[in-house]
Amino acid sequence: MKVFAALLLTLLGTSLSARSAETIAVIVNIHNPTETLTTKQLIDLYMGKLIAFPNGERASPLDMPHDSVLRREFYQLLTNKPIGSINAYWSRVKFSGHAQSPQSMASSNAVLQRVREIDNAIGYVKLKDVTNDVKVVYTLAQ
Amino acid sequence: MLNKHSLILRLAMVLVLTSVIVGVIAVKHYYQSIYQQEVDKAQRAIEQLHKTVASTASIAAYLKDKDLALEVINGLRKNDIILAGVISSEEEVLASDGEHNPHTALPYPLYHPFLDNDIVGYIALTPAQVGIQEHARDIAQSSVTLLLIQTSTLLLTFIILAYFIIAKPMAKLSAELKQITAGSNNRLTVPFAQHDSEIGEMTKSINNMLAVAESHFSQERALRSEVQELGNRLQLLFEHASSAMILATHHGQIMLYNASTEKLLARLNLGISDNLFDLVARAFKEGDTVVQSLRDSLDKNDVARGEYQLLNDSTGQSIWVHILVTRSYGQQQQSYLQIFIHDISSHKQQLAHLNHAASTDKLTGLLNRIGAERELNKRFAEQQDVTLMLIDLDGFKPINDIYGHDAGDEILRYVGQQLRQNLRKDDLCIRWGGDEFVVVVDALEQEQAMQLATKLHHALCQPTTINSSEQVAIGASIGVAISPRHGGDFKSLIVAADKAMYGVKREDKNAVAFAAD
Repeated sequence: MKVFAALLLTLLGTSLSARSAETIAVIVNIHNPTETLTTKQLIDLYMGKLIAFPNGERASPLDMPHDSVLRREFYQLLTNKPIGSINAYWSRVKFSGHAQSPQSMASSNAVLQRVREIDNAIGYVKLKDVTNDVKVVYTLAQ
Repeated sequence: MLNKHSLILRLAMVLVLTSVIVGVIAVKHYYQSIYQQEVDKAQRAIEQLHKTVASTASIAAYLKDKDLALEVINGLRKNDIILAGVISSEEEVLASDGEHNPHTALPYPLYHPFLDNDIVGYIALTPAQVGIQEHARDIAQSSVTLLLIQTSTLLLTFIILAYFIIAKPMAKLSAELKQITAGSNNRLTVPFAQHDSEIGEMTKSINNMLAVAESHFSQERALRSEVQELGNRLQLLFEHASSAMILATHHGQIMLYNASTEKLLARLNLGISDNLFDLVARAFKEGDTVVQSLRDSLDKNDVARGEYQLLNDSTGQSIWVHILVTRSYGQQQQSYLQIFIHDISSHKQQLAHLNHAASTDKLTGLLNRIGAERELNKRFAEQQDVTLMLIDLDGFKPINDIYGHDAGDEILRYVGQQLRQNLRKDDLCIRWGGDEFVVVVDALEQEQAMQLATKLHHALCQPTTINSSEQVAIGASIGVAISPRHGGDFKSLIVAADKAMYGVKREDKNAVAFAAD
């Protein structure tokens, strides 16, 4: 069902816009009790405001490399802001050291690997890369 | 030169007062508008500042990052226009600096950095009110100073100009006018460069008035000298008149009298008195009667005249005067009495003399026919009875022829003498004409009349000397008539006497006969 929907969206997106990206899925460890997240919760987790899942478990957000296309698309879809703004945000926030930026991973596989291994990890990959041993809690599409 | 009532000073005071009032109101409004502008400007500046820091402040509020918030606030506080700043999240104050004033502070919401409609906190900025006010005041003050300089310059210029253009020329005109005597030919000079101005017009109008006044004055002067001349002449006429003149009120109160009046009264040893009628009563013989007749006549005709006799003068001579009293009406219906008293004594004497001459026979000094008729008519008018004798000389003509007219005249004079000598003073002796004489005496009985006639006949027939040597004698025929027996008037007596006398003549002449009944 999810696969079908994703496929459909992909097809529609491809046909409607040349720039359209693929659907992005936010994934957590399969044992994580969190079933779904709101946009706000997701933003707050990735922007360093929330440091825990709704159940109180400490969260450890994972990010893609700094210049990755997926990262750019992820933040664009999530906050509707260009990646520059996000970078500027972090460069401002990092000074005071009150908030911690997500941990940067080398690739989508590295993200998947980390989510499989660590209970409180949360990351994002292309929906088509999602495997059965992780849990999708949020999807982002155009 | 400028007293406290001066036009210029008053004008200046009004102008200054108006300027001050308008200035104060204008400055107040100006200050308020400047202040408002400054406040608006400050608000805009604060808003801009807010926009500048909004994203950072939002992040601070989003992350509840007190350090970041404080940094923002500190940054803002470097601006003069911000007195205090507060950043708060929804739960707590994150950073605050300066004297925060909740009344003047401008609050702005801080939005979620990534979710546009989510408010994550507030930033409140307190404007530096005092600074804004001071700034506004500074601007207003410099404007006021400028206004003050401008206004005072204008005022000063206006006052100086007004002084030189209006006040000074007016004062000069006024001083000049003071020097000018009304009626003189002096005129005001039109002030410099004011020929067509209001002052120039005024000067011209004043000059016109002066011209009119001059002409009036000269007319008046001419009139006055005419009146004076007239007065002098009238005085001359009045004072030098030979008649006594008196002016009195209608009650008789004497107002004016001339020198002749005094002279006339002096002759009577009288002084002037206050009242005309009193004076007349004292000065005239039968004065009360004179006064009464004058009054009656005046009441009837407004004029009274008459010839009356004054008291005798100090030498006892009688004085006759003609008096004329006229009532004349002056202004306001007041009436006056004009009195002229003219001495007619000499005129009267002359008249009496002429009268005497006219009624007297020159040769004999007896009455002539005219005088006789007047005297007799008087007596008959008084109903006096008389005895009349008509005497005709006999033998007169031959004497006249032989000895000449002078001798005849001597005879006639002799007859007159004889008649006078044998009659009383009141008896009338008349030369009736030629050698005829008439004698009129009081009423007598026939016998007595014949006795008197015989006596006269005897006297006439006495011889007399003529031409100093010749002895002659004449005869006379006499007719006698008496009234009322021979008539009630002169003519009928003459006729009766004449008849009797002719009876004598017809017989043997030289006799006396009584008239027939």
